[in-house]
Amino acid sequence: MNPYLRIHTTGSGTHQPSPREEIQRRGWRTVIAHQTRNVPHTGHEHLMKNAAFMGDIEPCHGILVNAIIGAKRLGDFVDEAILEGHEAVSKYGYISPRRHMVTMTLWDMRYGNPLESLLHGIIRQNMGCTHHMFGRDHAAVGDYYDPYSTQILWERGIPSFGLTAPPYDLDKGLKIRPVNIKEFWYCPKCGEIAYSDTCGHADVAQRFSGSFIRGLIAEGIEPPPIIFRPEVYRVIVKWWRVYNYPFVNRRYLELKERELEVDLKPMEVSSRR
Amino acid sequence: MPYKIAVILDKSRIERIRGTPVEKEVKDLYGGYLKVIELTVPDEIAQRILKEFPRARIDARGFIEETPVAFKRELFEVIVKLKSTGPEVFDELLKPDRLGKIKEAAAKEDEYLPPPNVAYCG
Repeated sequence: MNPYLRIHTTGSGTHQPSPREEIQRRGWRTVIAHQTRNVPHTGHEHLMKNAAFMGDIEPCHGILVNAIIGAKRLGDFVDEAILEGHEAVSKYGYISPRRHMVTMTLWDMRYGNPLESLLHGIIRQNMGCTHHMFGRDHAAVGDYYDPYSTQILWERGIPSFGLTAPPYDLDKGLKIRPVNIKEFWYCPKCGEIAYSDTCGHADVAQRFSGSFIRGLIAEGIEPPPIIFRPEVYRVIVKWWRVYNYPFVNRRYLELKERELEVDLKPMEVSSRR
Repeated sequence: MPYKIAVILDKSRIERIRGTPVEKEVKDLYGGYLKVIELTVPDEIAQRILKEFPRARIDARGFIEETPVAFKRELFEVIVKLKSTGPEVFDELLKPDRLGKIKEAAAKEDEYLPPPNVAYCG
């Protein structure tokens, strides 16, 4: 793994800059956050590259990938493959390492879609990001929420949550700005990966599906490079050999609970009004 | 509402359907990099599959995904046996004997799946 992450996780005693300090050191004026609990397929990669065009007077200087590391649902990818998979994207130049940084947050996914997106906004703003990309089914599982409910929250607020305006437009709200993106699909007519709102061939478009790709992988079939980078696939196989399984299963969850859970003394939190 | 389920075809599977009516139903995916057969799944059958395999789900495309590997493997065997992709495939697939065999194999999959033989380039 990237030394930047390794020092963070092993606590070597060396001062390691926080993401905010690292952003300042790199001189990035605008940084867009990419929330992830997935090993990236090329649809994610296109989302990152294209969302980053929304900066200020030029595209965002940096793309900060912030992987959620912790308990996940059975069948999601293992944490190690998520982090190394994202690192492989810049290591092999699919996104230049000059513009790409992989970080993580220890957090058990709640799959809370719009509610969880507020937490994401706070965390990434604190990390120093100026923008946050939100795609379809943000922090979602199944069809409990509308696929675009997070985007609705960040576009106009959700009054039933007590938010009558987007989080950046409220008194004492967040400063981080949303970049709402629909989806990228493979269009056989265009012969390329296209943006759903730009491509006019919805009737023949072939959408990306993480579930489909996971099924392909489970069957032992290497996904084609147009949907999955070979170097990223090899990362999955590397960790598959370690755990004898490519995805989160009960045994992996028990192991991670032992490794990552920390017992804290009860904390008293004063409330000020 | 009917859903769909896709069976991916590698070279050996393509060989096994060659010359049958099923061969005409092979579709290209992602620029021809993948070959698949897509079956229409009536709603009641889809609900039964979701019930029998709790981790299975309908994805954003309306396809039933995350079924056990053993389920997809057996589905392909039934397609080959019946030389069809019609609804009778699911009648055969969900017969108690066959379903029991799939579930037995699927239970083992939760603990172990054999990794493919590819080199790590890291």
